[in-house]
Amino acid sequence: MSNDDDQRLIGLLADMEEEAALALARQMLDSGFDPMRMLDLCRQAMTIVGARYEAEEYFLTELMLAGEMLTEISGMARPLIGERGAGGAAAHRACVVIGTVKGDLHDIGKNIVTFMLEIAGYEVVDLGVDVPAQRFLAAIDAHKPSVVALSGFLTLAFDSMKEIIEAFQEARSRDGFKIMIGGGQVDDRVREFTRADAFGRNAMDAVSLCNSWTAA
Amino acid sequence: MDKSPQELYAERQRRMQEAMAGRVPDRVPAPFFTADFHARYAGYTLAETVYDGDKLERAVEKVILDFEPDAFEQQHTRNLIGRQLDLIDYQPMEWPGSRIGADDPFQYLDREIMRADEYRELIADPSWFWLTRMLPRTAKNLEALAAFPYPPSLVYTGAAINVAAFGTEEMKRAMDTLHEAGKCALETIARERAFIQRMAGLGFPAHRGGAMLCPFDIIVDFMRGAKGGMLDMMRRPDELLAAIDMILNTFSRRAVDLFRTLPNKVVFIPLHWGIDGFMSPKQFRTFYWPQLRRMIQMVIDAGLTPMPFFEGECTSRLEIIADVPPGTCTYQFENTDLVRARAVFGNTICIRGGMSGSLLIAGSPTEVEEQVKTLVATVGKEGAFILDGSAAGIPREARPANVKAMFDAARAHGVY
Repeated sequence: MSNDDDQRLIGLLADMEEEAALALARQMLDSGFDPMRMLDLCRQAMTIVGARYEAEEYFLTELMLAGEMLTEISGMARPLIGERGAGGAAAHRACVVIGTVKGDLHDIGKNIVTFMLEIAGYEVVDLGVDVPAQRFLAAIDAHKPSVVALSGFLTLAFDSMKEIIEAFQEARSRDGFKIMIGGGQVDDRVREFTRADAFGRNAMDAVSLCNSWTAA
Repeated sequence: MDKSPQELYAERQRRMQEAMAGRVPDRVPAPFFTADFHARYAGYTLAETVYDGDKLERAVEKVILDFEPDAFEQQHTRNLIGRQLDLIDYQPMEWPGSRIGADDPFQYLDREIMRADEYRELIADPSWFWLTRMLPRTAKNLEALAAFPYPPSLVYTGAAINVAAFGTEEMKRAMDTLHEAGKCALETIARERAFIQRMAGLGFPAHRGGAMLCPFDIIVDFMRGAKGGMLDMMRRPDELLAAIDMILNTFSRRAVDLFRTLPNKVVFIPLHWGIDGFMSPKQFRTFYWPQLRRMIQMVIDAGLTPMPFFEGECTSRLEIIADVPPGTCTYQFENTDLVRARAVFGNTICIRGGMSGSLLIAGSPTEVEEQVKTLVATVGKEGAFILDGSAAGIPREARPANVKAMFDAARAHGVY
């Protein structure tokens, strides 16, 4: 397989050429291409997608389609990884635990943030929706995150965020990780109310906050 | 001398109408709009106001009498619906006291109900598709409707034979369920009418007539789900556009025909998917705005007032959505920059909103009063402004003292 194919695949993925990208990925894997390297090409393509989203060239649709293509290719590549003995897991920078807080079932915003954090290189542990304090605490114990991200769309989320952050304080010192909140009508007043460390208006804010907190 | 309730009713209604027409009323109007503030304020769980009409009415009446708004939003038809939903066992929504807790709010559940390969079937015969596919998939106790006979087959001898579908026990249970749910709905509607009459007698006008969604939101919210709908813009744009057109020409037209017969002429149009960040400007101009614009025109042509509620932030769309006939529309906003909206619209569109959920929940009465003053001096400077909470009205968690401060400040500082 030539290096041309590598670049072509990255380009097709980044340009949202779904059918052509999937066909090429399949053809490359069928010809013995290293599946780990394939996943790495996907990551490179997703970095371009993220940059275009940040530049407002891409929107929610492109992120969703990128996610779909990534899932498809991972599905093709992963079973081959053990088989071909390729090694070397990608290096993760830091871990972020994320979830939509108790009482709220909305996840579109949380999913965008998760996607953008993943392509920025973070290991993201997504706890889903309607997550109570105990589940956040268990995930903090298990994953030792650098950042905990609380998402909420409804106004009831303000109280939930406050309660969850209070529970963190009761259970342990908050020194080990930073807390960011976002979603719906969350603003600086809500940050103050919940005593989170920061709030973000969008996924780019979330990535910037994590980068500023985890920079060496 | 104190004004009579009839005089107050006329005064409040005129205040709202003047603002909605883009003119300068005697003062900034402040109606009461909320999804569920009334329940907690009156000391009830949400479930109590969703299942018990007496409690709902006591709660809404308390809010109206305590805050004396210039109009109120009818709550029966959006709250007193628990029994009906239980009876049909509706799936893509949670409501208080059913599968969720007694004080958990209504929540929409994002599901794919219609598959991507079903567009053709939907477009070819939308009513049939809704009856035999959508209803059985969304309401567990209406699953038998999947076997509903094709209506045109009920003709001549077919009328005698194809009624067989109604002979099964499953269909009987579905029909009985509909009858029971229908009785509950009739009670809800009758109670709402009586309540509106009673409040009118106390001097308080009801505000809203019908409510409708724009075609794109119907497809994404209720049929394809968020992921399916978003991906359809890229994978099958032609089918999506054809379905949007079909909905505009059928569902939307029928809704407007119905709203024409209602006593209140304001049509509420909550909007979900057209916001900044969800759609590209090109997608907004292709799949969303042109059809929403046609729908708005349909409402205007029927002699009604469209009141779209632009959820989230739509600041980047202001120049596009400014294109409506002057004095015909009220735009309700959530996070959009209202000062910029005023600059773009001039007084051609009435702007509604301004009090953020975070301020009403976590702020102080003094901060609320200051915000009202600021709004009156900027967005509301030359009329065409309605003061309201911007978290779909007043959020349940708002501090009562802040809500009171908002209404008091409208009276104290909103006089033109």
